[in-house]
Amino acid sequence: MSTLSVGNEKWKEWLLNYSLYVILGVLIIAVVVMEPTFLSFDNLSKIMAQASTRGILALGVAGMIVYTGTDLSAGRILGCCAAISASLLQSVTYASRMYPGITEPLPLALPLLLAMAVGMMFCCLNAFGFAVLKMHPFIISLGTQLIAYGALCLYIDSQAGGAQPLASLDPRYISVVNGSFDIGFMKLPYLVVYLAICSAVMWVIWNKTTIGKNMFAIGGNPEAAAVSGVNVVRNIFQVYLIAGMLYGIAAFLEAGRVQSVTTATGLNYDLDAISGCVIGGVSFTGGVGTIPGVLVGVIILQVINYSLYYLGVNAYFQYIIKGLIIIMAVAIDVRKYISKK
Amino acid sequence: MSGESYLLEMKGLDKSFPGVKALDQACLRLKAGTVHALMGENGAGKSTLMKCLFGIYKPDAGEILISGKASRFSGPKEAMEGGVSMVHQELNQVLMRSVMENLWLGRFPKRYGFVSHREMAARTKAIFDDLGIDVNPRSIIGKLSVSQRQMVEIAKAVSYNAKILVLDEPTSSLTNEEVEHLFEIIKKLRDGGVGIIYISHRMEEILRISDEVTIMRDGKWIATEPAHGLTVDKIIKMMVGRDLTQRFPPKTNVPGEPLLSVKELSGAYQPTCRDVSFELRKGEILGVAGLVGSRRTELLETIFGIARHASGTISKNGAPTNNRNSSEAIRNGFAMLTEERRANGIFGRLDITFNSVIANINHYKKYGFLSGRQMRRDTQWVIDSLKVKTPSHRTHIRNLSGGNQQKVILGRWLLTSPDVLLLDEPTRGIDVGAKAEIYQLIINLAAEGKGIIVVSSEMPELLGISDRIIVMSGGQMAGILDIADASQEEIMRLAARYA
Amino acid sequence: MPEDELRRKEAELDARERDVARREDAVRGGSLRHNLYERITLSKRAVDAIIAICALLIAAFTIAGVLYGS
Repeated sequence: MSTLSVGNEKWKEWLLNYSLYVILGVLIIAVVVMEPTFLSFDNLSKIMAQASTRGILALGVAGMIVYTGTDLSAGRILGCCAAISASLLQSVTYASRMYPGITEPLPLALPLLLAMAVGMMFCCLNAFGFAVLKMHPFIISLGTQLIAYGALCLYIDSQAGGAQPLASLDPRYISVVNGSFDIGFMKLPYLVVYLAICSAVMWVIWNKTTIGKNMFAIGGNPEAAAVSGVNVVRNIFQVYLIAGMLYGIAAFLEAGRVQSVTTATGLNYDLDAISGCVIGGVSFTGGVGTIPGVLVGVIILQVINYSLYYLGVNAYFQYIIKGLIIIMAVAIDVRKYISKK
Repeated sequence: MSGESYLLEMKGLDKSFPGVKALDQACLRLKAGTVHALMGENGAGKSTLMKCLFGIYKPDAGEILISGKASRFSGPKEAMEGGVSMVHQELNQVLMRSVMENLWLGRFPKRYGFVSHREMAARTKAIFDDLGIDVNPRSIIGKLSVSQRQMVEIAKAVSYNAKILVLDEPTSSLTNEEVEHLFEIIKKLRDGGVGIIYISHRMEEILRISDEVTIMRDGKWIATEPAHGLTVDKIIKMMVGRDLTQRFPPKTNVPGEPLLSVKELSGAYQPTCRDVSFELRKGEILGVAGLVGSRRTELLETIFGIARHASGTISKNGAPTNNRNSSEAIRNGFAMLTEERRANGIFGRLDITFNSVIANINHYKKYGFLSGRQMRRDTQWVIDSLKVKTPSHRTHIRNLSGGNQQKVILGRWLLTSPDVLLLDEPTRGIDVGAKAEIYQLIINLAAEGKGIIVVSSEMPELLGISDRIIVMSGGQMAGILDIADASQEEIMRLAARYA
Repeated sequence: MPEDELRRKEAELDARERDVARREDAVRGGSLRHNLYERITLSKRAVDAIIAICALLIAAFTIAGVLYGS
């Protein structure tokens, strides 16, 4: 075989494995050409801010994908936890707030911890189904998704004045979530900092603790893990509970970011999280993934989203395009691991 | 046996699974500081016995004593902590992770609560140095060769400081050098007082390394003898329960007129066969020999049509035949028994009826529905004519032994009434007794006038049943030998021609 | 050495068979492993084709979306 054709082979391989990055590149170039105003720190912060809450969610979902599973309930759970955060932090001067009994603003930590607790509770349900009932995570999370949605609707409906969006939030809450550090001519949103902290903690957990190592072992080869004495059930609960905490944190921040929580909050957030993970190299074959990968994947997805919006692409087309991106990301993942057989 | 204290005693163990009694009063006695071989055909119960020891299975009856104390491990972790370590046949490793992570899985060294990679690497290196293993602890285990992975697995078992070490087919992927290395390690452990149970099919090795040999058959203990008094023949006799003087049945088939003509056949997608030409006659058994990589399987797949051919012709009974896919091939009177029975031969989770009738399924349609009566009749035919040992039609094929599974698949193909049979490693993974039965079946089929092509890596097998032997090398045909002119040396010579 | 080769081939096949048996046992025993990719029989070409088609469709929809954006 001539070196020329070998060169072509390598080039084709590279192109296929990195095609999503290529699309991203082309898209960015197209946007910049058409709307040069795209390249501004302001836009960058906006993208990063949007990416933050999805990113924290993705950090949680990633663990499930490493287990060779998935979590379709993440979005609705986020909705639930966001509702709780928002409802407890509505401005005390807002007449039709959910808890008229709250006349003094609550310490911010309280709703945050409550959100995390609720997140952990739902994830416990998922963990139980997976670890104890040996159901595929896809199925159990499908069930949990509906339960969470039902709970969310009931909660919002239970307001004295009937179902209405949970809005008019405490100004402290809003500023803690949406504020930013001024660094020179750039603004660094707090959200990015929160994402960074969560990522750092998750990185330590994944790489430096027994929980993380066991998680990868179970995802890579559950029999080997079991035979080596890893307590699989305990590890699953540990990973899911950590995810639950992350969902709670993400929900708390998201409620503060969009400043209005309805029954639609959280819908399909999990798809973004999962796609972000897959794009970032967390493979569906299980046992593979890195925290930086998750972040890269989520950011790429956000940039694509934002570029499409900036280009003025029809919103419904955006749905179709996102769907195609998911298919493409999975196909690229399959491609990497299928050649091993 | 008074006065002898045993390190391990397994007495009167029974274990049954649905439809199968895997252990029947099985027993084993291991002394400290000895290598004790455990032998038996596939399905004899060796793995099951070890799994009972290791805590993976709970025996229905019997007891296990370690150093005189009754032990019942509830799982592998307990077994390992109790001083019993096992190197499995299937290397249970997390392929995407590093060597050291695999080794310390379940007991990671920690510093201030966090896993210490430095400590892990250091301890791993110490173990490897002690055993003379040259592998970087930080490399990804999936990237190592199978033999290196096996060495790592052995190192892992040793690192548990076990008093009892079970090695299940440890040399299956090792070169001669590595086998020597392993034996050194084993001797060292033995001299240190460890009791080693060594499971293997390799009789010469067993006679070299073991002190005692226990033989099992059909789940029962047959005999335990000191190794120095045994020979390969004695062992086979005890394993099989009868004298195998006639390893190959007499050939009653007579090759006749040409049946299949293959000219300049080349596959489409590399790596595959190239420019292969030969003739197959009715009633002939044509063996196909060759080394790894000589593309014998690809040749059969191309003839059968599940691999695309790029050029060349195939004619059957004088008429050109183009098998574009397996359905066409079946209609044209071809049948193919694949190499990896478990992977693409049996429908593991289904019963014998399904596995028997599936290739012929179109023949059972009556007004669009399947005729249960005809399917039962044909399944019974398969069971009778191939002498399949099974309790019923509804038995799951998984519960049959390898030999019986293979018979069912052969029966499946025979129901389609083929003229040409393509058999790829038909006796792979089948015990000595069942092999003889399959050879008889092949010869009978040839005697009926069918043309049979047999690919095999066991030269004695090809020499025992073929009429002619094609030798493949590097994808091409290196030569055709008449059985009278064929010998192992001659086949080897041709096999190396284009390798 | 030719004998080593034959041995290796034997070992390879044995390993593959055991691998499949282990997987089947695992599924039968209700293990946690449900690898989505284990049963994929697509060739690499087919997967590449899927990737290429998706890329083209994404480009098409993006362009269409820009032109007919609302």
